[in-house]
Amino acid sequence: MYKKLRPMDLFLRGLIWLSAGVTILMTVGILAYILVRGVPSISWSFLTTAPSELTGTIGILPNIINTLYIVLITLLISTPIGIGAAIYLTEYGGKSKFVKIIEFTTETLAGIPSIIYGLFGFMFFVVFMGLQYSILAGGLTLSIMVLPTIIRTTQEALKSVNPLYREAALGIGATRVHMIRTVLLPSAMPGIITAIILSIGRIVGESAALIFTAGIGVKMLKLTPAGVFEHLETSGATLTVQLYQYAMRGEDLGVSFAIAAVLVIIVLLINFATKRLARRFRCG
Amino acid sequence: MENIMETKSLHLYYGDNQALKNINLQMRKNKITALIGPSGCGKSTYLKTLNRMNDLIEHVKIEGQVLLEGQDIYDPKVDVTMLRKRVGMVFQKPNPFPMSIYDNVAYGPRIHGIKKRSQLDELVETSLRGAALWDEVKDRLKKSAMGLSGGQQQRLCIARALAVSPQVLLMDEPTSALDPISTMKIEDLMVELKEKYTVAIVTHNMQQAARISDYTAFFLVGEMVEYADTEKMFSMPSDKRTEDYITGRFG
Amino acid sequence: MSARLSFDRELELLNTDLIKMAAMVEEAITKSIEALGTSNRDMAREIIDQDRQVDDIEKAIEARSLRLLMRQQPVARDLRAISTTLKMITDLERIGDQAADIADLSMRFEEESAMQVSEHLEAMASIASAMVHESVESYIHNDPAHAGAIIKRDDEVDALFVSVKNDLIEKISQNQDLADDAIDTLMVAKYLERIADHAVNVCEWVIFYSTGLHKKTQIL
Repeated sequence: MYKKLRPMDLFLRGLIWLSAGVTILMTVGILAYILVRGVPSISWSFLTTAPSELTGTIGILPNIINTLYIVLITLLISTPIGIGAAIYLTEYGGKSKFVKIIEFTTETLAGIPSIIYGLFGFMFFVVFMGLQYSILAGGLTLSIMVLPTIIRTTQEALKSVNPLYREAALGIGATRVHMIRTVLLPSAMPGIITAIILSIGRIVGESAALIFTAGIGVKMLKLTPAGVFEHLETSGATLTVQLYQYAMRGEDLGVSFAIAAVLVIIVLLINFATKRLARRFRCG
Repeated sequence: MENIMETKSLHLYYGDNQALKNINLQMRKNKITALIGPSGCGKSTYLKTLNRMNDLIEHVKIEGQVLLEGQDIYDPKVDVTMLRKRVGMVFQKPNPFPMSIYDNVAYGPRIHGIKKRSQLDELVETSLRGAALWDEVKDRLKKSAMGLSGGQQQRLCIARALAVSPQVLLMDEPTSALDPISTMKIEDLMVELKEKYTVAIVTHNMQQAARISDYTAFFLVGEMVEYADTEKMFSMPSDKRTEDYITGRFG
Repeated sequence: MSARLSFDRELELLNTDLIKMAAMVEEAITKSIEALGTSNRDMAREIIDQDRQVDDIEKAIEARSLRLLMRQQPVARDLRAISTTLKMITDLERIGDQAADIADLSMRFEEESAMQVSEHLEAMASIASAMVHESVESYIHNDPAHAGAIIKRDDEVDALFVSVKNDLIEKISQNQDLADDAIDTLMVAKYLERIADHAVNVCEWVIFYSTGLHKKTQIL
């Protein structure tokens, strides 16, 4: 009845603690490193101006705006399509061959390097559809890129909803659509939010697919009703694309780290906001 | 004695598998009918044919008739939503929606077009009272149903089913996941419910069938072996197989 | 077939005990009638002693039956088996008591035995005793038809009781001194008549066991 030493248990427990420790250390380490190197170079004018050849100052406001634009456009296009496709696949498709083909295709698409999406986007949106290097072309390309992630994650979320809810709703006379709207989607919402957050991560972090589609412009957004939409047609570099360029030039690593720090903060803020939004959605 | 539902030479197939063979059963109005039999005997399948829950399963083929007050529920013109309003169902595991207690009960009425707040309030209260749950939850109607105990959740599911004023209530092993006290509460409730509703219950608990039901049907490998007054069934069953099953001497 | 081994074993033990009790009661009647014929006092005392054993086994069977009802919650045939047992032991116990009473009375006859006091008593004793024996047989063989036939014999016993009574009235009118023996003999006859009634009851429970009918009404 006395405690016994079980060496294997101890060893395994040690390994688990070690893994957890390494993970936390790496995350915190990278974040700290970026913030420490980047934050000193961030200034008010850095955040609120465009880069100027005239004064020789560097500003990233256009990049911030471009990033937000692309995130917004991509999500506006891919989320409804992705969720709709996921609902079809799990709720209506059954086990048909067609569904299997779609599932297989989505999985394959999820594994394709982003540069290939970039090339496709360049050929199709930029050249064939004549959108030229533009934020719209970039957003469309990224929509295709994140679609598999959204479909797969949403599908998993829908599948993990307690099947008893479906029975209960249908058993009381709900139609399938009503059941999906009132029971299934609200229950799957945390999973769908995860899908969106993962997508935001990919969009913000993307460079290769955007260089060929959204280009590297740094034009300022014109704050007029028309300007807000015209901006879609302009070429625009996101923060990551800009970071990539500065880093490639290797001139000023301080600026690169500053952008990196801003990126990290933006991603944190977007994730936070999404979660808040989701909670609001669930309760309402 | 009035029959509310009637099954006439019902055959049901899952693909090539025949799950129900020639079932003929007349369900008496305002009575509790228990369906008993070993696992896989078809009793749950039969229960589900009564409000077409089998429609959800692929490759199900049904022959014969199921009549609700004389009307064939498998008639292509029948609106399943309306059918399920008249023939409600309570499942084996309590399955309240992850919403408030109020919204759970109001779910059905809302489907069937009741939007007025005062009307819903009233329905929620009468349904919860009908399910003997009102006193326990009246102060937390806006709280999540997931915070209720298993027995309370099951009574909530009964209230949810009652809220659309069904004529028949189908219960698929409604107490198998509950503790004895909750089970007794639900059994008491069922006996009360038959004043207004007709109840059909699938149960593995023979004592339960003997305690609460008025009629009992014994199913075995897709056939209905015997259907009789419960007291007759549990004292002098006419089929040897029924006797073997209810006395626990089943092969 | 059987999926309830321990329950079946318990039911079997119950059945064995019941048969054992029935055998004890049968023996008591046979012996008490013998004591009546031979005025054997030792035998009479032995019967009275043995009646306690009958009471003991009755209590044991009763306890076992109630325990089975509680633990197994039997239905259908099982329920009838146990309720039949519970009802039958009451009748058997009464038969045992009455045999002991007869034995007790047998010791009071001094000059001539009860059999000599009334010529019809012997026939009555043998039919009553046969009825007990047969009723137990019908239980052991689960034979409701046989049980039905035994019930009919009760009329013979009732008729003999009237004959015995007439014998005794005549005896007393001839010789007042015989009044004491005559009254004792009448009591013996009454006990025998009761014994036959209890045998009828046993038969009725035998019929109930296989049909659920008791005195022609469905009670289970």
